[in-house]
Amino acid sequence: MIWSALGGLLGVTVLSGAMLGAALGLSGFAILHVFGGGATRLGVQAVFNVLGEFTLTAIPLFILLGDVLVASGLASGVYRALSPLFARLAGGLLHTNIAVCTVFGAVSGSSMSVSAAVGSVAYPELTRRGYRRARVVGSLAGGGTLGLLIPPSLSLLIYGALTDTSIGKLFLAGVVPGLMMALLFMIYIEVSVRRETSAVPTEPRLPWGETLLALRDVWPILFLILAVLGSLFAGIATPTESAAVGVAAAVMLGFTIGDLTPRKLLETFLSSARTFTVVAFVFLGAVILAQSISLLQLPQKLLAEVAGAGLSPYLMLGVVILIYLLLGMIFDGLSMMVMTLPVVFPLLTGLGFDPIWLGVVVTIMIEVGMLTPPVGMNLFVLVGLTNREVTLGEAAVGALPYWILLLVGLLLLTIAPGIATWLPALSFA
Amino acid sequence: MRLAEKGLVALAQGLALAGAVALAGLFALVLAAVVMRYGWGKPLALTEELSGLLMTAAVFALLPQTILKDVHIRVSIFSERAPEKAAVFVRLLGSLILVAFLAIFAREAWEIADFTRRLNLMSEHARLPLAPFLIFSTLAVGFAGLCGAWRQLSPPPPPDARGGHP
Repeated sequence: MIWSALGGLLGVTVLSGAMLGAALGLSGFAILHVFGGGATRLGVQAVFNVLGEFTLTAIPLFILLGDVLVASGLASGVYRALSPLFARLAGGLLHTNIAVCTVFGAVSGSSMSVSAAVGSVAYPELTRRGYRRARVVGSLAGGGTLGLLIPPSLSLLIYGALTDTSIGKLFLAGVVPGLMMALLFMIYIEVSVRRETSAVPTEPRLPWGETLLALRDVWPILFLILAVLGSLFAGIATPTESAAVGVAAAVMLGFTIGDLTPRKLLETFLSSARTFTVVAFVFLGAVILAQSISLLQLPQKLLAEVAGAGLSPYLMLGVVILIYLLLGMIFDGLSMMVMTLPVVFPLLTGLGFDPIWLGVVVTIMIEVGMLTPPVGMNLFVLVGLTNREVTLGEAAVGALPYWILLLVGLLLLTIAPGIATWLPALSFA
Repeated sequence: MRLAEKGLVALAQGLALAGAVALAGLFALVLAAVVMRYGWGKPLALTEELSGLLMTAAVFALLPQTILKDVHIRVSIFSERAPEKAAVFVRLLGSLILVAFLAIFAREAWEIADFTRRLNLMSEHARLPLAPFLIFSTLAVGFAGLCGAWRQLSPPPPPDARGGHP
């Protein structure tokens, strides 16, 4: 009864095209009212409690950091610096897209921010040079997902805050899988372009001396990575503090070597606060829904049923991944995570899966959702960025190889969990 | 009618600016905490709790403007493909869901804010008064509900305001 009521409510409210946060929140309120004895106030109380969490204050600061990088023009400088190096490969600047997304992932915690930041520089440049639009968008959408896996990561941060898992360990766990995915993406680009040479133009090769000289312009982003990840992993700052240190460093660089002006900075504060509100509204609704799910002890009931069904842990993992794939078609990553974690976390850790490893797996599934139409947020961002020169369908087709590669990465991670757990185990030994 | 709309937009803009200031304050506060801890060896005791409250205030302060600007995430696969008559109904349903959600939220938040004010509740460590933040957030949610209702009920803007041809 409760499951069909939950499914029906979510179906009607979400698919009505209402703002997602309101749809999730109203469903949560309805469940709390009807099945929870009118306990709607608990949902609101949960929102105030969660929004007041210090750990989560890192989210607006990481959004601000990404926006300052774009507003100050530092993003385009890094792109120009890395381009000559990757122009030597058959995949040309498609490789640069992946490399710059990887580097940006190390200062920005959001997949959409990375896609937007790198896309705003790369798309006009690559289409002007004659690269196929769908291929460019595909590489940017795929590369953008690295922003969520490579630390700092908003997804791992929220996962840690909601499940009481060490955020430091989670961030370290994302490093190797993030680099592995970047490598897989680049291998795919190289192999596919060598098979279909007409897909990309031949880039002029600069002599090695000039190529290496151009790399010196990468230093601002390396400085930022040092400020953000260095302060975090050295134990000098918490994730929120490292984000603030990163923003301060980005503002300083923006004023000294970038195009940042006081007016641009003020506009950046406003646009970052607006972006954060959009994210937080979905979060707020998902928290109320998650509260209703927890209050009615649905996770415990589901756990008991699963235990009774006698499914093997890996079969259960497969079922969870399948559910994430389906949810990823409709929900954005954040709400998907907040809604499902109260059930998925106790279910899979209870079956013996490592909570740190699970954080990386959930993040990869969210990344997959970012590329899954019709609600693939990275696809939305990039289609908007191209002024609809590329349709959502074309973007989805372009991103399909990266979507498959993320699932391959997930398979590798399941076969060899050490890919994620090795680094945190080594550092916290 | 247009005057009321101008007032609504101006108030939402003012709140949005207040939200941006709260975000700037949050950034300055967290940075100051790091500087104080390593520069002067005196950590700021109120950082964690005040930054959480500032973040909450920023979210609710920007809610009215983001609703007026219609920038929130929607699942529009069905509503965009529905036939015209059905689309009108679906849009109305979407607006009703938003207004109903914000109304319930504001009602419950007001009860919590009022309880907090009457008992003069403070934050756990820094002893910051919680009522002003909760009252501000509640009023902003209520105003956001009004903005949501206005978006549905207000007459469409003149064609040139929508970027159409005169």
